[in-house]
Order: sequence, then C-alpha cells, then structure tokens
Amino acid sequence: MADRSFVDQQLQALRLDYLRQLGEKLTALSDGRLALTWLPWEPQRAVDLHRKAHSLAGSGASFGFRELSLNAHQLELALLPLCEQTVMPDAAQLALIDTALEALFGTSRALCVGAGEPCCSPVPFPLRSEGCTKNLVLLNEESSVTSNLDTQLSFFGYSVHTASDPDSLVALVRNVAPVALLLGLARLETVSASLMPLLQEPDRVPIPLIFLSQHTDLEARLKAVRAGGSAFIPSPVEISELVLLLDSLTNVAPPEPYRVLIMDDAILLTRMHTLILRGAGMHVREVYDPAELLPALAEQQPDLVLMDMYLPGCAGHELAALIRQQPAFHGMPIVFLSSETDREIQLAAMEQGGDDFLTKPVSAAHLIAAVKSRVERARVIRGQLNRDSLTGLLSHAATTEQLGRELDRAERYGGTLSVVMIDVDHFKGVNDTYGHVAGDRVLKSLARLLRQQLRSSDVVGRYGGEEFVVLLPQTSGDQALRALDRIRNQFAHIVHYAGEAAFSVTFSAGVSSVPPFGNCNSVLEAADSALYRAKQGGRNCVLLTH
Amino acid sequence: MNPPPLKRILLVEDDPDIQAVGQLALEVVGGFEIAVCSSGQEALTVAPVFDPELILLDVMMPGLDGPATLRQLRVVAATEHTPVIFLTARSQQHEVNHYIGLGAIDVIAKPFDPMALANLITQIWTAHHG
Repeated sequence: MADRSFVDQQLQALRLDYLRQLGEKLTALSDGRLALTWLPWEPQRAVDLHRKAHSLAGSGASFGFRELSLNAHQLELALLPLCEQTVMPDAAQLALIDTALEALFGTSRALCVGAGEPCCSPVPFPLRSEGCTKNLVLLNEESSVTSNLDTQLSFFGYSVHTASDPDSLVALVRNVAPVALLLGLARLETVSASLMPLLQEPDRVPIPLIFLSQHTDLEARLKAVRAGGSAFIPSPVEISELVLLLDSLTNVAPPEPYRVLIMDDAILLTRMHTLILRGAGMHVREVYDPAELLPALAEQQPDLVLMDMYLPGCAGHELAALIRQQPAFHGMPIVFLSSETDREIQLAAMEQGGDDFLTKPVSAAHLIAAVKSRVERARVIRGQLNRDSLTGLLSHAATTEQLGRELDRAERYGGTLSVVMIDVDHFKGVNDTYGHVAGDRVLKSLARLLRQQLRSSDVVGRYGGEEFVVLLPQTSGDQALRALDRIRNQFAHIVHYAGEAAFSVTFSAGVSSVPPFGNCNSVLEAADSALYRAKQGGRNCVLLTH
Repeated sequence: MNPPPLKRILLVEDDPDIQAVGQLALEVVGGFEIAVCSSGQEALTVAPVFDPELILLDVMMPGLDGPATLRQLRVVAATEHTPVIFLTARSQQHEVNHYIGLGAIDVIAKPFDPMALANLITQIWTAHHG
C-alpha cells in the first residue's frame, strides 16, 4: 500500500471535490422537490429524486461526511413510498420530505463553512411558505363565494381547511389550530351555539373571526360586529385585501425583513441574540471585530445596529459616534447592549449617539420588541426615500443602489447574481377597465406574492408604474427563471375583483445574470431586452437573456 | 492453505463519487489492479478482457441492475465462476442472505470506509477460499 500521508492527501482532495459538487446536487434535489408538487403528478419524479438521495446516502460517509449520509438516508426513506404512488403526495408525506431536505441543506452548509468553501450550498427556495404554513378554517355560505380561494391563499402561505358542515367545524378548529377562522355570515346562526364557547375558551388565544358575506349593507355588518367578528370581507373576495388582513391579524413579518447588525465581541451571546432575532423573521449580520464594522455597515445597510458598550480597542459609544459621522448613517438607530448597570454611564452613552440601552441579559421578547419598534419608526422616516408607499417594496432609486451593492458583493465573493425585470401585462387596460383602485390592488398582490415566494436574501423593488425588479444573489439564471416562472403561473391564477367583475392578470419577465454581464447598466439592459422578447412572444412568460 | 492471490478487481458502479473513492480504496490503499465500469452492460464487455479475480458489483444501477448483471456474467464462459461481491445500501440480514442466495460470495454495505475496504475484501476473499 502507498504511504499513509499520500493516501490522506488523495482522500483530502477527493473530499474537497465532493464538497464543491455538493451545491449542484442539492440544487437538483431542491428543484426535484419543487417539481413534485407544482407539476402534474408523475411517480417517476419521485423515483429520480429517490435515486439522487440514495446516491448521496451511499457516498457521503465514504468521504467522511457521516451526517450527510444520515440526512440523505432520511430523505430516501421519505421518498420511497412515493415511487409507487399514483396520487400526489399528501401534506404529511411532503412534510417528511421537506424536513429531511432541510436537514440535508443545514448539514451541507455547515460542512462547507467548516471547510472554508464559500457559497457551495445554495439557499433553497421556500419549500413551504416562510415561517410554516398558516392554517385557516373556512365554513362558507351555501352559494359558493370562494372560487379557488384555497389555491390562491396557498400562494401567500395560508393553508385553507374547509369544514363541510357546521358540525365538523368545531372538530376541525381543534385539530388544525388555525390562525384565523373564515365564516360565511349566513352560517352564523347554525354554528354560534357550538362555536362561540370554543372561541372564548379561557386558555385559548382568541382566534380572529373573519366574516364573508355577499351582503354588505349595514345590517350585515352590524351582525358581524355583534358576533365578535374581527373583520368583514365582502364577497366576491378580493384576494389581496384578504391576504393583507390576514397578515395584520397574524403578525406576519413585513414585506421587507428587518436587517440588524450586531457588533459585539462576545460570540456565544451574540449567536443567541442572532437566533432570537432570526426567529422573529429578521436578517442578522454579526460583527466581532470593530475593524470590520464600517465595511459590514456599507454592505448590509442595516435598519438598526445593536452594539456592545465595551469592545476591544474602543468603547461602544465611540463607535456610535464614528457611525454617525457618515452622512448615510446619520439617522441609523443604534441600540446599546451591555451588562453596564450604572445609569450615569448608560446616559452618557446615549448622549454620544445611542438611541436606546438594553441591559444584558435581555429577554427574547424585550429584545425583539425594542428592535422592532426602533426599526419601524426609522423606516417610516426613511420611507419617503427608500420605499414605495403602495407596495412597501424598494423604490426605483433604492433598487438601483441595492443592485450596485449586490454586484460588488458578487464580485467579491464569487457566485452568480441574477436580475429579473417584471412588467405587468396590459396594465393600462386593467386601470381603464376596472379603475385605479383595482389596479393598485393588483400591484399590491403581486408585491406580496413575490415576497412570499422568494427568499429573504432576494431583493424586490418597484421599478416603475407596473414594473418590478428582483435581485437574486447566489442564483443562476436558470434557477431564477424557474422560480419566477412558478410565480408567474401562480399570479396568473389569482382572481381579482372590482365590484362584481372578476378578472385575472399576468406578467412578463426577462432574466439576466452577472456573470456574464459585469455592471448595472448592462445587466439591466439584458434583462430588459429579454423582457421585450417575452412581450413580443405573446406575454405571460419568463425568458432568459441569450 | 493459502488462498489464491487476489490481483485484479473489477468495480462496477454508476456513481462517479463512489467510483473515485472506491478507486482510492482499492488501488492506492489496497494495491490492487482495478478497472471501473459505469454500468452492467459495460461490465459484460470489459470483464472477459480484464479477467478479474473478483468483481465488486453495485446492486442499484440504472439499466442492468446488480442481480441482472450477475445473471448475465454467469452465462459467459470467462466469468461463469468469477466470485462477486455485491455493494448495497441495504444491509439487513435477510437482505444479505437474499443477495448471497443470488450467487454472490458476500455483501459490502454502502457507504463504506475507504481506509478499511481493501482489508474487508481480503478477509472475504480468504474466508471464501478457506
């Protein structure tokens, strides 16, 4: 046998190769998983996916990646029953698959980080809607006013469970633990006896009750109020209104995740704070070394900085003053986090540029609340410049700025940045036929759908009247194309209402990437010309630049 | 009595990663002379020419799977009696018995330890000829 060090060298080289190819394999798995549910069911897809998982399971540990083999084996097991199935997998089967897949992604990401291999594991597109699907229970009026309501709501992360009759309603509510209850107003009498006590159970968090009704007169609305309804939605149901209502009732994270930068040299505690804030839907960047602070700020453009008072080489309040020197960060909310209990020192720190002071240890709830309120206020102030007031997305200027930053990042860390230009089809016609209020709602629902179906690392901006731009870091043109095409399909299936009139809207889109394009203008132009071809080609499609 | 020498091993495996690590384990660590086939079909043409003392055969392959390949190998004079070891992810006892019942001398589980594979094969070889 050849000498041991030579063997080790060879094995190490093989291991690195394996890791480098892992990203692609996981992308293929992720794509395969998506295809299981949003294409017509074909057991062959499960067979192919199973084979890929089997391959990973059978090889990972040979390269020293035991955890990978185990995760892949779980995935294999979850996929096996589907290989012979003639019907589409149910929610329970998909949940098993998704859990295994997520574990696999987690393990591979950890492996790549450990090996110092950047961007080897792609961030998967949402397999389930962000933050777990929220359940709704629906009991409707006799004459159906829903028309595919459940399908459309699923695009936005809400899973509808329909009760067939008043008797099964209570059982369904118990089983499903919905975040809201949709009830046809006409059904109120039949269910009130059983329903009201349930909703008012002392231990329960009250479930918001949303009434649907064809009658929008005062009498109907009063009835809803008296029954303790949280809201009243006239039918036919305008999906964007319902989604926004559900979002506000269920505290869904705002369209753009809050970005927080934590400057603290205490690693463990910082990690804990990161986990807490991420759990609340925020994007967190950790900085341990003061020398890294300014570059990190420039790159992340956080909504808020959480900073420890005492840092190596300088005091927190000195850094705060430094941050405030920069015109761009003059209004940046800075919250000090410290075990300092001396009031005098705390106040001094605030005078130097801090906005608030939290004493460690800080509870999760307190941390989240303090950050949220500061960020919300700061965003309102900055909002005029950075955000489009209708959709909550980035404004044109902010989008272009962000594109510049993402380009820099792509250049620095490698990987592909994809850019998509979206234009709503025949939008002028929508405004002319159904009115501007309806048109605005269409735009709002598209904005919400994009946010739902893209990842929190993706950037979505309203570029023009009916034009949107999406930036997808670490994503190839093909991946971006597939993701946007799925969204295109979903959007086309949404039924909008203007009074009694029902209509659907589509969009066209063009996709380009860096590389091969190298600057803002060229990549945008390329996406634009692909968009033009999409329009010329008949609209309602997504094309890749060639 | 010493078992006959084991010099040439044919590895039949469609997964390129396992081919790579298998080659390392058998050639570099084990010192065997090896040939690699990506499919059962390829193995049928390569085996008579390479004339291995032992064939390491993956069970789950597209096209001709392991068991089907084994049946075909047995029909060809050159490989009628060549000992075969199956490579498989399934390694419950009744499954192992099943594969042995098909005509293999043993079964090796995937994923295997590349540093231990050569030894394991030598042990199996010795036991088979004992």
